[in-house]
Amino acid sequence: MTRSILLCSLLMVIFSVNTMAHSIKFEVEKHSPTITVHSYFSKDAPLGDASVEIFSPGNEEAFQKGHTDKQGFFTFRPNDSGTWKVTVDDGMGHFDQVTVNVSGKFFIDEEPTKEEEPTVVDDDKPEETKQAEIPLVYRIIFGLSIIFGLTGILYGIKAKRLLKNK
Amino acid sequence: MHIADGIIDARIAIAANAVSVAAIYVSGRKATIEEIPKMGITGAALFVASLIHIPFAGTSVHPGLYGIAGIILGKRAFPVIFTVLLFQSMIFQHGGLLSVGINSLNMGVGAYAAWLIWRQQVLPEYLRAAFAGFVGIVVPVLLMATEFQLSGYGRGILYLFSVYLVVAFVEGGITLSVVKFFRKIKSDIIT
Repeated sequence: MTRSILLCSLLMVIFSVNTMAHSIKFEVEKHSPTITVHSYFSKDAPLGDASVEIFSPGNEEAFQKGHTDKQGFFTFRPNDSGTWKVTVDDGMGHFDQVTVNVSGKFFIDEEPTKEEEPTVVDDDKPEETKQAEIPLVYRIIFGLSIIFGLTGILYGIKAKRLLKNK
Repeated sequence: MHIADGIIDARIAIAANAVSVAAIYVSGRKATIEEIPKMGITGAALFVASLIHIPFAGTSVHPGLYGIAGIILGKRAFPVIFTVLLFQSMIFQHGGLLSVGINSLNMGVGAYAAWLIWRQQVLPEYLRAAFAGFVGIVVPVLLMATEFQLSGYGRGILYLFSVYLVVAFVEGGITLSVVKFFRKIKSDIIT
């Protein structure tokens, strides 16, 4: 029985590696004149029906409030250039925010000059998205290395003291 | 279960960090050389366990292993939990950096409560182990729910609690299994 539960736990860890990382991830898509924010824990776990607040540049009061859809998407239409802040809260302890830089070009592109719908390339990715690009397994190995490294250093210090006292 | 930055008032978060540093000193000083490898291994287990994201009942839950940490490390669990949460926050943004103190206190108190239950020798060992695992989750969730309520983030707290109640039962089972496993292979690892 004990072995079965431990084996199940181990398998759960192994098979959940791809869906790990409990923090909220954001993907921002700018399609003039709207911006869509996708919030999720992992690709198969969207942050659905979470409260969203949009703050325009330099404003403490929310520009817009609402909820993400079931897939974790929320779309808004900015009316000014600058740094917009989007906060997401599922009301159960998962709260995070992302900043979206809106340049003047975003509004110029609102008037299509070509036949196809203009798309603004997201060249100012938020920090969260950049960090999400580092493979999760590497970050886990990095964290474990630090923990084991610290353990080794502490062990070494203790051992040195013991040897000195002898 | 990890509080992000911006939820708790910054002054309270800073005060919690100061209390955590004091708690690290009190609970970590005079750790013996035999305890240090145990702290490292338990810390690594906690680090990985909290990152296992399980979509459940419309939200995302994760095991904590705070009960196991309390049973194996006793009062030494607190510095380990603080260190683990600090690195989780820095590497994964799992919980806020400023909120590390308050998160450590929530989970450290859970581990300490589990350790206190584990020490009650009058109860059978399997019952103590399962209950310690259960308490190791329930206490941090209760503390977090209270903090959320005080900060005005009360939406869905009852739902959160009921979800983590299920996690607490599962964790009770895992803790019992781990204790039975260690009793078989290396009995002296448990305090």
